[in-house]
Amino acid sequence: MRRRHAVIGAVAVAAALTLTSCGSGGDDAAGSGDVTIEWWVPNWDEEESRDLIAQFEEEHPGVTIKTVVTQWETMANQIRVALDSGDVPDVITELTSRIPNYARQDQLADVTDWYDDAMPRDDFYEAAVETASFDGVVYGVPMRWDAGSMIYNVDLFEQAGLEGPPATWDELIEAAQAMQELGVYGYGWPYGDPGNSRVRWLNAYYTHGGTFTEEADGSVTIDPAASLAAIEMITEGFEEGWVTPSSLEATNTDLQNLFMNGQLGFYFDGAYAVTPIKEAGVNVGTAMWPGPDGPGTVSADGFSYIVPAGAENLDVVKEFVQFLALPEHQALMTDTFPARYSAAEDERFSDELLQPFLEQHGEHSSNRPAYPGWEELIPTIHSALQSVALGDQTAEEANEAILEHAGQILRTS
Amino acid sequence: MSTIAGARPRRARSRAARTARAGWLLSLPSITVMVLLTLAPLVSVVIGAISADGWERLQQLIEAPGFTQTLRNTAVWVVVGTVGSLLVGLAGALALQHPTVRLTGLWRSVLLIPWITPTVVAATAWKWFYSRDYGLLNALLLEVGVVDEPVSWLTNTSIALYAVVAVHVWATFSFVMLMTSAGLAAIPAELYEAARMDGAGALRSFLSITLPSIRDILFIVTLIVTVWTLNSFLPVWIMTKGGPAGATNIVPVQLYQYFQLGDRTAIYVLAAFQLAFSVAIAALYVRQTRKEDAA
Repeated sequence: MRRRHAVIGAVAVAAALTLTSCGSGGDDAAGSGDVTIEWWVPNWDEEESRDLIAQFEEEHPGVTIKTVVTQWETMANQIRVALDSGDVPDVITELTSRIPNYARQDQLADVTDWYDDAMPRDDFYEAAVETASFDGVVYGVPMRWDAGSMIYNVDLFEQAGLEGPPATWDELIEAAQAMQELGVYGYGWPYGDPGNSRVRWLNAYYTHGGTFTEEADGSVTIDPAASLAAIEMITEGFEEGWVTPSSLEATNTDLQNLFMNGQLGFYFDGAYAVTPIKEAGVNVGTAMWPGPDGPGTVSADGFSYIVPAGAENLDVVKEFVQFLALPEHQALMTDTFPARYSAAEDERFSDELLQPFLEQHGEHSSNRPAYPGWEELIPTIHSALQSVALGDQTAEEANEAILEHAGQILRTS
Repeated sequence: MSTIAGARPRRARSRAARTARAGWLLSLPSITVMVLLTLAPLVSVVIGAISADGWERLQQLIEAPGFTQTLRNTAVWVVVGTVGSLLVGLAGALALQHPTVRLTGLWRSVLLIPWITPTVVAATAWKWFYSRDYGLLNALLLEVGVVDEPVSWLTNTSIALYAVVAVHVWATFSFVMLMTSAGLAAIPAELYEAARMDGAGALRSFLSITLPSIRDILFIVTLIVTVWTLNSFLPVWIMTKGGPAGATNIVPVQLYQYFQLGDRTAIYVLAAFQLAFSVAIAALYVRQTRKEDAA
């Protein structure tokens, strides 16, 4: 009998341990009245976030901010799984252009009313707020808004006898050929990464006047001529030898490394790359990325604070997000540029090297689309660019593949 | 009074039954969780795949650009990956058995390194090794004059898939080598001696003695490696993400891409396909092990 009781007791303990190990941490609020806010913050913002958290907690006794650090390569999946499962934090820093995907599935809280006197909407870049919206409702608070531009090696340009960075596409080709004569490649593309590839196509598409036309039947069409011109623009140079063949296996980080090692004369990247390149000892210059006749148009994006639909303690969360969105805090947090005009006046952004980026994304940029099916087009565009760069397909054939697939999947809702 | 030989006293049987029951009860919570975590996703995948949405999505997948290429790549991946692992593993096992090879323990440890290296680490290292302009492989080949210009191992559509398969073979041959080594060690040396006395050469001995003796082990190993290869995802994802231009895209990678897109129905359909294939392999495995037990 005693043995049976011992076994039953052991089974109960085993069951309890099993269930405990399966369970999540849950809210670990210390006691009644205390609130814990969980914030998913990307690793590049982690250091700055600690200072802001300490400040907020000091100003709000009883509130604890717990952070979970995300990584660029995995954050999209991590956030999607959390939102799909309902096991969500209270605040997430997420790429602004992905917000409509979640909003479409009612997974985010409506923060339209959060734009009040404490956080006036007209101080934000309207393009950023629009991108963080869906069907007229705002679902995010942008904290960073930027687009890439040209980063070039001043020393290599001088050696090649170039007077300055190219201002038109023809001048860019000449600069690339001049680099080739020096024994380095002109530039490279990140065709080893599907997402980066699509952004390069989108930049070139906008540069050639491409738009997304919403049809009466709910489909969204791509301009065939602009798409073809984009493909031709960003696949020339491989055969001629002024674009590095490593482009086909390179990510943007790989291109940055090639540039820092003096293997590229110039390339397209964000303002966050300037500091590490300077620290690597490269005499770096910046300029707007050119189009056929002048500055090209690039696609702008950024990061925003989003609040999952299941988040609790929304009053405290709102206070925390508005705190994070203060101009001086945006200026601190962003690795590129803030999403508020008043924050952009911070002295940090007065560096001469940052001005081309500011001008390009302020005056020569367009939002990234957020249509259903847009993400599904990534592998098709990526494959098309690689095929043409490899010489396996003509630009026309690749363009047909993109148009056909886009016609099947791009929808307004 | 029972005098049947081998009959256990009633008290001993009762004690054994209680011990067994206690063991089952203690294991029950963990078994329940494992069954739920395994069965629930399986059932969800099957239901999702055979639903009306699943059939419709299957047709869309079949018509999507590159799907036929993905299936073809997967077939090449599975066949070349499995055969490659078996051949290299068997060669390694035979080499370790050869009487002229010394320090077999050391060699066995070295040859196990690919098996114990985490796949992400191995795939990343191989990606650098294969790099067109900055990889060690091209540097060596250029140095010794085998090639005149760098080879695009991972960006040439004709060879990228085979380059990645080679990494998979490298990572899995150790398992084949281990399993077949055990079988080879069990073959009596007298058989080879007798064959030699009858005038049989190395090839005849291999075909008539070695292979038949390890046939059952080879069969099991083939099944296991086939399932592993079919489900292998990391080498391709780390090294090429299915490119260039879909040249290395295989079903597991496609499935992960649909996961990134949140396309649940596509995930159900592709997962069901992999599941069906794996179940067929598993059924063969179970049938073979039951035959061995009966023997």
